[in-house]
This record gives sequence, C-alpha cells and structure tokens, in this order.
Amino acid sequence: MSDFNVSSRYASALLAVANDTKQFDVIAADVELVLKCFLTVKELKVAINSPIIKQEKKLQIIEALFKNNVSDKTLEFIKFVIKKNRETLLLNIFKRFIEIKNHKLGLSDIKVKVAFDLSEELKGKLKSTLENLTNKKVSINLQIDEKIIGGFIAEHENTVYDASIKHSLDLLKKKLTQGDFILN
Amino acid sequence: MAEVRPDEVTEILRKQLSGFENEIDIYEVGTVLQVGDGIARVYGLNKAMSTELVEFPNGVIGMVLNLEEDSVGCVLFGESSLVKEGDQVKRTGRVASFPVGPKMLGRVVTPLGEPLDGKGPIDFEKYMPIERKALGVIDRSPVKEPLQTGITAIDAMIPIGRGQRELIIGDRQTGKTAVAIDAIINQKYTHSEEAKKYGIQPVYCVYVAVGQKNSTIAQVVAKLEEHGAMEFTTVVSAPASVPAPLQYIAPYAGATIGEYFRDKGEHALCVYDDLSKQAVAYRELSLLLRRPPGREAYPGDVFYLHSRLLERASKLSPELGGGSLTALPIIETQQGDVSAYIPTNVISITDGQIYLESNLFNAGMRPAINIGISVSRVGGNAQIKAMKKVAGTLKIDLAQFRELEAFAKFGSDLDKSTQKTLSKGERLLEFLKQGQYEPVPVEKQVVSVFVGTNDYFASIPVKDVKRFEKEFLEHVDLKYPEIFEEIRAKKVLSDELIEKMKSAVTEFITKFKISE
Repeated sequence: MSDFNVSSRYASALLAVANDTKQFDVIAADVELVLKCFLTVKELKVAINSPIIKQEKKLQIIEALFKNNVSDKTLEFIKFVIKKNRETLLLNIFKRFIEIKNHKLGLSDIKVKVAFDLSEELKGKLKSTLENLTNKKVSINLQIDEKIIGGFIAEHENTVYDASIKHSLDLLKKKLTQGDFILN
Repeated sequence: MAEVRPDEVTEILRKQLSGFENEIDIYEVGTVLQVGDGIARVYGLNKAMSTELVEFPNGVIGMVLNLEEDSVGCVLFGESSLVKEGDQVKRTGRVASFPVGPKMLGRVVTPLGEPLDGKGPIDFEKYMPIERKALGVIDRSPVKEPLQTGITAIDAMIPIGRGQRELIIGDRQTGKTAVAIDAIINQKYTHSEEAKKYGIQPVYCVYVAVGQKNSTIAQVVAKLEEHGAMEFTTVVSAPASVPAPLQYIAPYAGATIGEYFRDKGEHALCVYDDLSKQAVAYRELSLLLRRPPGREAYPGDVFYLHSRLLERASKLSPELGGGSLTALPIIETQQGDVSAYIPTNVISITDGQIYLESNLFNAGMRPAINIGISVSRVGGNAQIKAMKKVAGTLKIDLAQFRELEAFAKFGSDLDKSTQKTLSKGERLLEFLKQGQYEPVPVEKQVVSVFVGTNDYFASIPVKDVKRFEKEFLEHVDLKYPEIFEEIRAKKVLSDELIEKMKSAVTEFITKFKISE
C-alpha cells in the first residue's frame, strides 16, 4: 500500500480517537506541537527514522521528550505507530491529520505572497475575498517576496490565484514573442 | 518571424495592462516529486485529466498518463534535464491535441503539430484531440470504393478499399515503406481534373514516421516532393531521436488529421510506419511509469494501443458524408516470425495483410509480396468490375504454380499440363514485377492482367515478358486509346471490349520481336 494510504488510515484513526474521547482540541494541539518539534529539530527526525536505533530506544526517546508535554492519548498513539514499525511515516501521518481536520472543519491555510507588507485593513479585505472565493474559513500565511513586483499570489490547495505584476509581465512576454504554440 | 511594429506593441501592452487590477489569473499547480527517464511524478494536480497536457518550467510540455491517489505520473515531451524536483507544474486544461486543417498538407510536423520543414508557421483551422473514440456501427458503411495503390500485384489480388485497414508486414529491407510510398504517390491521380471527370474523389495522405532515422524521413519527403505527392500529404515525424512519449502519440496525431478529412466527407489515407517501433516506445514509457509488464515485457494494454488506433479507420455512412480513412499500418517482423506478439495482434485487428518476404526480395521479385499468404478481407467488394473479371483466375494460377514449383527442376520430364502451369506461373510472376515509384493506372493494370491470365505470354520468353507488357501498353495507347478510355469511364469489360483487346494482343504478338 502506498505511504499516502497508510498515513491517511492512521491519521483518521487518531481523529476518531480524538472525537470519541472528546479530546479533540487537546490532541490537535499535541499534533501541532509534535509536528513542530519534528520539523525544527532535525536530529529528532533522523533518530526516529534511523533503522539502526532499536525500537525500545526510540520509545524511550519519545517518552522522555513528550511525556510531560502531550496528552496520554497522543503519546500512546506515537508509541503505537513506532511499535507497528511505521515510525518513518509519523510526520506524514500528522500532516495528513491536520489536512483531514482542516477539511472537516472547513478551514483552509492559504499561502499568500505579496511584494510588501500589507496594512491590517488590506489584510482583512484580502481575507474576506479569499473566503468568498474558496467558501472556507481562511487563515492567511503571509510571505513577502519582492520578486513579484506588485499584486499578490494566493495558493489554496492546488489552485493558484495569481494577480501579481510579474505574472502579467510574463504573460505579456509570451504573447509578444509567440514562442509557445500551445497557448493560443 | 514577422516584424513587430512599435504601435502594435503599445496596443498589446495597453490591452494586457489595462484591467490589470481586476484580472486574477487562476490556474492549478502541482509539484514535481521525482523526475528522470522522461517521466515525472507530480504531487497535487488533483483535478488533472488523463492525457491532459501540463506545463513544466522552461517550456517543457508533459502529458498526464497515470492518475494515482496522491500523485500523477506524467511523460515529458521535452528534455527531462530541464525539469527539477520541486518545480511547479501547471495544468493547461487541454487534453493532448493536434492542429488540423487543409494548410497542414504539404508540411512536415512533429506529433504536437509544430512545423519541422522551415516553411514558417502553419495557419491551421482548429485543434482536435488526438485520442478520439472510434465510430460505432451505425455511423459506418461497408467499404465499396477502391483505393488504387498503383501496384498491379496488390490492386489485382489483394485489393484495398477506402476505409480499410491493410497491414504491410515483413522483415527489414523488404520494401514495406516502398509499397506505402507508391500508394501515396499513386493518389496524385485522384487530385487531377481527369479523375474528377470520372467521379473519383481525391485522397489526402498522411505519412506517420515512428522511430525511424531522420535521414530516412528526409529521403521519403524528398521522394514525395519529387513525384509531386507532397502537396496532398502531411508527414508526421517522430524519429528515433525524440523521446518515447512523442513516438507513442505520433500515430494518433496522424489519425487525427485523417479523421478531419474523413469527417468533412473527403477521403484520407494514413500510413503508420511503423507500429512495432511505436509499441516499443509505449513499452518503454509504460515500464517507466511502473505499469506491470506482460508478454515480451509489453504492458497489458498493448493490444488496445493498436486496436483503438486502427478502429479509427472507417468508411462513413452516406448520412455522415460518406468520407473515409484508410489505414496502412506497417509492422516489421524479426526473421520472418509473424507469430511474435505485436505482429499477431495487428494481423488480427486489420482487414488483411500484405506479406513481404526477404527471400523473394533477394530473388529479384519486387515488390516482394508473398501472394499465397497475403489477403484482403474486404477489398474485393471495392475492386472495379473490370479488374475483378480479369484478375479472377490470377491468384489460383499462381497457387497452382506454387504447388508444382518444386517439380520445376525436372524440366522436360514432366507432362504437358504441368509444364504449361509452370511456364504460365513463371511468366505471371515475371509480369507482376514492378519498379519502385512507378505506379500503374488501373486501366493499364486491367489490360496487362488480361494479357497475363489469358496466357498470351505463353510464346514470349520469361526475360521478355516485362518488355512485351510495356510495349503492348504503348501500342494500345497509340492505336486503341478507346480501350483505356472505356475502362476508365465505365469500369466494366463489355464483350466487345474483350474482343477488341483480344484482337489487339494477337496483332501485337505477331509484331513483337523476341530478344536474342
């Protein structure tokens, strides 16, 4: 089975546990914390993924790290995954967990690129526009990239809403040179 | 490129930049996970369609072939070294398609429709998807018009009809391409004023070259140009040097132009040279896409690969305009082995095959057609009546000859009737020899087949048969042009006409000088 399928199964199982035990918020917060931990501390990821380190050792590491920081259920889940020899997928499982959770709650994390920082008013406007476009509750992850010259580029799942000046100039260049026969 | 005038530029600039504020370009993207060997795995592109074209950076175009749960598998039509992991891939929303239109004629193009002949951009009419479902039963009608190849052996014994699929199969260096090229050159007549007068509709040709050498393709184009056949022909070129995905789609692209003419109620002939190389290209990309291999490592759908292509050849019903698309697929066998996987598949799909043999070729029998095992399953209905009448016994005569051929070395020890069969067979085989790029019009074929089957060659030595035929045709052309005229116009042999032919040939035999 593909990694994607396996991660989805584990993630939905964790989500089901969270719902059953009514600890949804707690577990969701735990997952984000663990994920952040894994992403920021490279050594942790390497250690957990390493095939040389024995399973007991990995369990001890997890225990020592997260015992006081996350809820019992989350800890139990991580240990379970390690016992099933799926620790390499742990990161994917948590990512899928967040994706599935957001999908269920109708939340969406949108990456927006702008050329310069926006005023609060503009941000609010942008947010409401994007919410209208996507029909979801939007949280904006703003990035500043001077290369786009002006306008914005919003990425929602696989769709890009591109209103940047750079893109317009690129289109213009293409049109003028007529280099690409495929785009009429 | 055409000149760009400054005022035009300003105009376009204004157009592009005006309304800039409210113009948001919405497109869908994915990320390249893995790339190599002309294949890219792309994460995202959730809504991508099968065979949709996608755009990679640096102008590389790809086509979606595998749709998986979390990723899509794309084949690249360009250099895979220009694509890196993590690159953004854009959907185009357009399935792979090919430009069609009358202006495509006379051009050499890639399987994506880009011109290769340096004659500038093509003013095509529209794009048509390269993968189209073949027509159903209701939309078709039986094959009934002949497609003259100009090769006497084929037109007399293995006739091809418009809308038929006739396989040309044989080892390397047996003249497969030559047969197809001759067939294309012979369509020149259908574009003439004279043909129009006799109600013969023009046939537009497509020559699809898959996995061949660039030099071979250049030679074919030069030959077509030399014989004035290029003006009604499109050459789709996917030489061995281009990536496998382009070789894979080339025949479909060729079929698309053919279908354009067919759907307009016109007639088209499509030569796929050759499908074994296309199958190899498809095997390559299937294995790279990790599809499970089957017999000879071809994927499971290699039969469908060819059947869906050749099913597109068809004769339309009168309600749909009565157009036709004839397919002449070519298959190269290894050491004459027709029981290999691809040859058996294609033999079973097509309506007959022309089998070329290397030992016949080496024995000087050109075209090297093995008449015994070559068949045409539907073309018989399409033959003109005159030809049907004279060619009726030709195949049987040759079959009888083949049966007795082994005894030929006993020479004079044989009885009279055997000797007669042998000498007739030898002369018939001799007269079926024909030079390359020398297509013979059907009325001349009828007259010479008449001479052959009625045993007028009996008194002529084998080495003089070809000369006799040539001189006799010239003689008829000079003294009895009405014979050709009548066959051309009425397409039947009346009793008077037969008598006239008989007297012409008996008269000529007495005049003919046998060489020393």
